[in-house]
Amino acid sequence: MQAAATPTPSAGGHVWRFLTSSLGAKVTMALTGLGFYAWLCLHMIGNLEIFHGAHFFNGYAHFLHSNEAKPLLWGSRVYLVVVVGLHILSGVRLWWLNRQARAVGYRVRRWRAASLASRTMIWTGVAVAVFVFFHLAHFTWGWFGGAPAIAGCVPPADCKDAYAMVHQAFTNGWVAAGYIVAMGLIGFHLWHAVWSALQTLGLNGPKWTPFAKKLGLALGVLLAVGFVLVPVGVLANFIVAH
Amino acid sequence: MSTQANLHLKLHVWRQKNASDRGGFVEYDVPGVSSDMSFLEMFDVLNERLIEKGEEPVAFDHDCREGICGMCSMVINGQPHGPKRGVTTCQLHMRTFHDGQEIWVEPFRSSAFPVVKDLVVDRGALDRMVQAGGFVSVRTGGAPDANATPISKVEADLSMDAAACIGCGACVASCKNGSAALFLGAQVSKYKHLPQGLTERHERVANMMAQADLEGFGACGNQAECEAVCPKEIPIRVIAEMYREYLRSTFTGRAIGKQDRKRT
Repeated sequence: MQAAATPTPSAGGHVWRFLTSSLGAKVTMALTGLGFYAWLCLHMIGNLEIFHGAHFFNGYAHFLHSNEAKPLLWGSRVYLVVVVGLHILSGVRLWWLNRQARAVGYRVRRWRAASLASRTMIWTGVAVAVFVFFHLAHFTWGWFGGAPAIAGCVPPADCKDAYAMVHQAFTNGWVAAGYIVAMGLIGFHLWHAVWSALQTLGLNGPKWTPFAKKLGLALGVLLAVGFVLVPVGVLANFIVAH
Repeated sequence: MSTQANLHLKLHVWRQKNASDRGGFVEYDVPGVSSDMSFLEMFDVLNERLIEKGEEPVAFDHDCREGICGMCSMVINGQPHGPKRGVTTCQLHMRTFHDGQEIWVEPFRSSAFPVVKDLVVDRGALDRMVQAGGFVSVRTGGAPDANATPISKVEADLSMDAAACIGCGACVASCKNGSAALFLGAQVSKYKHLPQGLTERHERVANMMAQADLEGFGACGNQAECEAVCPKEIPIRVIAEMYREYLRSTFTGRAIGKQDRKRT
């Protein structure tokens, strides 16, 4: 709180002032969130290749780790670190600012409009971040065993059996359940996130806003269902060991 | 219309001697409340009884008691201005409550609204944001011809809806993040739709946003709780308009802040 009406001068001009303002953090949240969503859609489509069978899926996995795909793989890794990193940083910053702005709470609280999804964004966000860490440890870093070798495969060919790794993982009910719950949380997060991002970018209108809210729900459900199809496919024996 | 009835209420009122006092809830048994009274009149009755008993009356803000000045505040059972939509506390009638009801009354909570005493908070931060917005260029001299500046009905209505803001601060009080985005949006939107407001549009929004951050208001989480409690039912459309104005002023490089002007 300050009595003077003059904002403190900050070096670097108006764009820097914008980026360090609370709205700058919000716009960063919106853009990086949408950017992460777009990448997750590609990831989901990739995962669904598993329904084409082991040969096709392993071919796709080997392509991603081949020399031709190296720029693609590393490009997307850098993209993810930047996008997700900025999303987390701005999110935590906003959470902290907002906590300070409402240091004293109410004894009684009755919500009229704020949805549960909107009130739990930081917590669903943290839960998803924890899940992403275990997900990387599980499937990328291979902390829990990694991919088995394809029978009869001779190096230097890529012998990692990604299909068997996914199948083995989800035959464990706990792993499948954890995965399904995490996808539910991502969908729940997106329910508020998508329309909120669009509103933050200034897109609001009498016809557009009701549509954007439904769009958020639809995109959240789409992503969650798309990812959940794989563990469900394993549990329901659609995806079988080869 | 309901016929007049007498209510016996149990109030839990936030009492706080001054800004540095910790404060706490005090329970009051209030019989004989007419259902035709406003919520503030009910407090007048309580205060008269407290004064008769030689106790300190409850301090609360009020002025016009007609729902247009924006002075009254109070969070009543977890909702700023109480449970009815589109009304201020002074226009909230006791018929909204039932006999024997327990009512919790708290001050507007925001780090930018320090408690002065009991239910009175200092909402000067809102005035300082308006001040930061600066002036509107208006030609002085002879009165301009009527209709010399055409404004469409649609734009005029959009501006007027935003100008309905009475600056009560319920939006801030209702917001989980203590954000003043709805108030700020209303100030920006009411000028944005009128030609007279466009001359200073870029610096106005930039300076007001900067002041909001300085005052310690939170960032909007797009939860629309403010829209639902606003006694003037100002839509969150104005928040999106403010964001558009801010993005436009930033990325066209015309967000000339006060500090920049001093340098040149």
